[in-house]
Amino acid sequence: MKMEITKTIRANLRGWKKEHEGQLRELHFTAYLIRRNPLSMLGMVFIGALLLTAIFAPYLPLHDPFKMDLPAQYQPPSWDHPFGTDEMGMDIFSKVIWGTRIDLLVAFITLGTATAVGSCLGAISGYLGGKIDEVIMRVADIFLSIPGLIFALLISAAIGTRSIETVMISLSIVWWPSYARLVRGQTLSLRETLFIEAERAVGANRRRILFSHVLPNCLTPIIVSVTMDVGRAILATASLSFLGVGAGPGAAEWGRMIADGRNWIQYYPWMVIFPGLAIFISVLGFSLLGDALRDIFDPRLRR
Amino acid sequence: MTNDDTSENLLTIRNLYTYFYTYLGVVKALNGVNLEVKKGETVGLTGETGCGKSVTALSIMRLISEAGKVVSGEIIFKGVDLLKLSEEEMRRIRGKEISMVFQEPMSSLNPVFRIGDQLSAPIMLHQGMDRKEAMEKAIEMLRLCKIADAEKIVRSYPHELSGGMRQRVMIAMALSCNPALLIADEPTSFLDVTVQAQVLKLMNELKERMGTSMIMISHDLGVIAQLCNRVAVMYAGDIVEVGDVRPIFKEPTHPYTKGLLRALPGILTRRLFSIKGTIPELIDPPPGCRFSPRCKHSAEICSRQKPQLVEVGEGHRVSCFLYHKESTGED
Amino acid sequence: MSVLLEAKDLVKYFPVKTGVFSKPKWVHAVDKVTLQIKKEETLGLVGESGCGKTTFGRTILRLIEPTAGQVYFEGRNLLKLSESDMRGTRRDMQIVFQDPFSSLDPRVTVKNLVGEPLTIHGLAKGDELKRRVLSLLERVGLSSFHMYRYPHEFSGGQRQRIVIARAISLNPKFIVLDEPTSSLDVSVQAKILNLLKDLQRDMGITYLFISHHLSVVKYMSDRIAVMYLGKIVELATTEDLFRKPLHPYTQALLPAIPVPDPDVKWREEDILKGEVPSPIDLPSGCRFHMRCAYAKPKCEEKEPELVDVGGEHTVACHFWESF
Repeated sequence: MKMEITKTIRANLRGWKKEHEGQLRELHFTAYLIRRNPLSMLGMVFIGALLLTAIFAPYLPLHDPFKMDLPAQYQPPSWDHPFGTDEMGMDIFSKVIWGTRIDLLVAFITLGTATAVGSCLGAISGYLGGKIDEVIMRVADIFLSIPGLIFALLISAAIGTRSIETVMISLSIVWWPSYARLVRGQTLSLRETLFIEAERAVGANRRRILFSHVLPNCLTPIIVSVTMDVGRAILATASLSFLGVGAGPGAAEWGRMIADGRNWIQYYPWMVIFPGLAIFISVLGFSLLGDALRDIFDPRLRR
Repeated sequence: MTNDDTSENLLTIRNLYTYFYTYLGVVKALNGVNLEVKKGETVGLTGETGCGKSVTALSIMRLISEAGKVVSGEIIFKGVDLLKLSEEEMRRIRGKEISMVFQEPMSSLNPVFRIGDQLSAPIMLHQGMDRKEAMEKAIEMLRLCKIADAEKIVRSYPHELSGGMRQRVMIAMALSCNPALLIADEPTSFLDVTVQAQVLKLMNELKERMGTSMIMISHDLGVIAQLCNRVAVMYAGDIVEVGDVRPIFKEPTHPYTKGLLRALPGILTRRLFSIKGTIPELIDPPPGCRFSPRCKHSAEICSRQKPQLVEVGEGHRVSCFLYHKESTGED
Repeated sequence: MSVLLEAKDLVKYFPVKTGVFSKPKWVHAVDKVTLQIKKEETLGLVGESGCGKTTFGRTILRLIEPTAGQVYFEGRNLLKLSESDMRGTRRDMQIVFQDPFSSLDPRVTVKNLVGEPLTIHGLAKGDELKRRVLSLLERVGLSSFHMYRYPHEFSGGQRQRIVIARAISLNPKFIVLDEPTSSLDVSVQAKILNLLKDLQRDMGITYLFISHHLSVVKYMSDRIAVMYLGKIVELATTEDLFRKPLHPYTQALLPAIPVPDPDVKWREEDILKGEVPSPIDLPSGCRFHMRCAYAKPKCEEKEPELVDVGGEHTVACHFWESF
């Protein structure tokens, strides 16, 4: 019985691999190019560490990050508390680890939303042109003319509640226009290509052309842009929390931690150094990878 | 059997191997190319995509991209092996002794500089003239290339000219320093038929007048037949047949040459002959004759050993074991 | 033989961007072309760059909207069809472009490229789709090896085969072949041309074969139309056109082709002078008069109409009789 199941699974796997062999080969090639670039490998290492930390945080033998232990406050790094403790006696090490989950999650969700919405609008705008293009682009322009962080602050204030969800919503609203612009530009040039004309010749309707042909071909610059943006998104989340809009005081979120420790830099610098380091590693890791991906995806270098 | 009399030849290429190093492996683009160009003659280099004709030209000019390398061989030009020169010395040869005209005039001309500036640059560089003199020489070259209104053209930008004009400018640039050898890589494949005829005729006239030798690279056998004295047919990095133009076209010996000529739509409308199979992989190619998988005369030895060029007529050489037997009497 | 497609006084002008204060200018790409294509024939369309042959091919399929004129396909006026009706009609009329490198979406596998027309028109899906795609690939000389790979992994000839497989997937009645082999090697070209001929014979397809390679057009076509600067200057059966070219442009075009025979060299008179004038600022009268060896004053004043000279041969020249 078990043999039967494994056999079917293996057959299905083989079928899937055959159907996607082209894509698998592309991935393999990309992985090869990443391996060849030392800086991007460094980026991958950082990102890998972050992801693992985020995923396995609940299973690590850590102090409860939410447990206040006032007598233990302001302790310097020690064996028991590798990063020291903060003003409420919470273990900074476990807060930094747990903070990974929040910051990465927020960055991914925010960028995911912004990319999805922005790309669709950008593609529609670029392909259809005319009034729709005008309207969407004007709105995007208006959004882009307001400095990002300030805009996010305004939106967060408008929403009222001080929470991570607020941060996610406001950052998504701030971020979608740049993807719309990016995808619109790509769409404008794709519109003139021979293969898009060939799609029309075969009878494809606009929806099919946009979603099956235009958007997939925009994937490369989107991926590069998103990778670079993750770092910035984490920074933005931390900044907003620092400014008092996101996570509440004492929360296990890097920006919040820096805000909380701001006044004590002179005496207990570890409260600020370690979350700051975490932000630094995240931003650096994603930027390196994004940079490398940009070079890798340069069509002239792909053979 | 190569022509050892290098003093008579302007250019002698011997056993040239050029490889490209890529992600998928080593592309053995040139597999031991031998070629001679005498003073004043036009040698055609023909073959299909991937046969190595452009790579040969770029190897001569030492313009192979970073991923590639001339692995071994000699390129003897006026008695000097070009492969042994330094980059500085090579720079003095390019444009002055050996010039090249490329396929796409739009990408060879810098769109943000005027024609006059681009034309006079090599003249100033190689002939040490000052700007005014170089510009006059440039105008003179344009007139020589049958460009009317040369003074106006000299002040124009590349995008203001038609394809035929641009190619004429490229020719003027290439010939401005009176090189001994002109290499033309598919110079007219992007031009209209009528313009192509004009440009080729022009190249021929200039070549005669200035005594320049020419290597004409073209996949168009019509162009080769009209313009060249001798022709070398290439296949997958090898020269498979070389000789005077008439015997090659009228009495081709190599199976590939024969197949190629029969695939041309010509006067008769019989069904076009197609050589079965496709161009081989140049990465890890099998040993032996690279054409053998597609050759109906292929024998056991063909897949084992690479055939050398042997004489089958005056100056007519072919690289095929079918003719080895006849000349060496052994199998 | 009945007419499959007819273009009547078809016009396509492209606007040219000029300054704010100057008069608008137009590229006269296709200038009142009337042409009939008969069922199951191959009509060749030749001319040099800028003559409008490619624009014509795309306009009759409504890939480009014409500026004026009519196009009738099987008697129906294509220009009066709605978007969705037009999409349905596209099943019967396909196109093969010149550049196999850019006419296939690089991100789509061969299977999905060839199967897409069937999916779009709801003709097959799932396993049935896979079967049909495989049989189409085999029909054009490819195999299952190619199915799950991407276009850029193949050579020009193979890509063109993929394009052809896609084009015949819907069993079209008419295919516009826009320079289908111009970017291919000679031996590959031979295979593709043979394939196209076989498909025509087996499936009864009508071809419009656009090319600037006269020898190739001659091999493929039953009749040939010669275009110059947006107008048809001569139309005849292949045999007649090559035996008795009447228009001075055709007469100049034929010998300008380099013949792969060292004994047949160009003569001085064969080389046509001048260049193709701009399709924006057209010459007055007959568009060819500035390069014509036989030009007379009348040629500069009045534009000649296409005249039927018998035997399905038409020519647009005032003085055709003197040839």
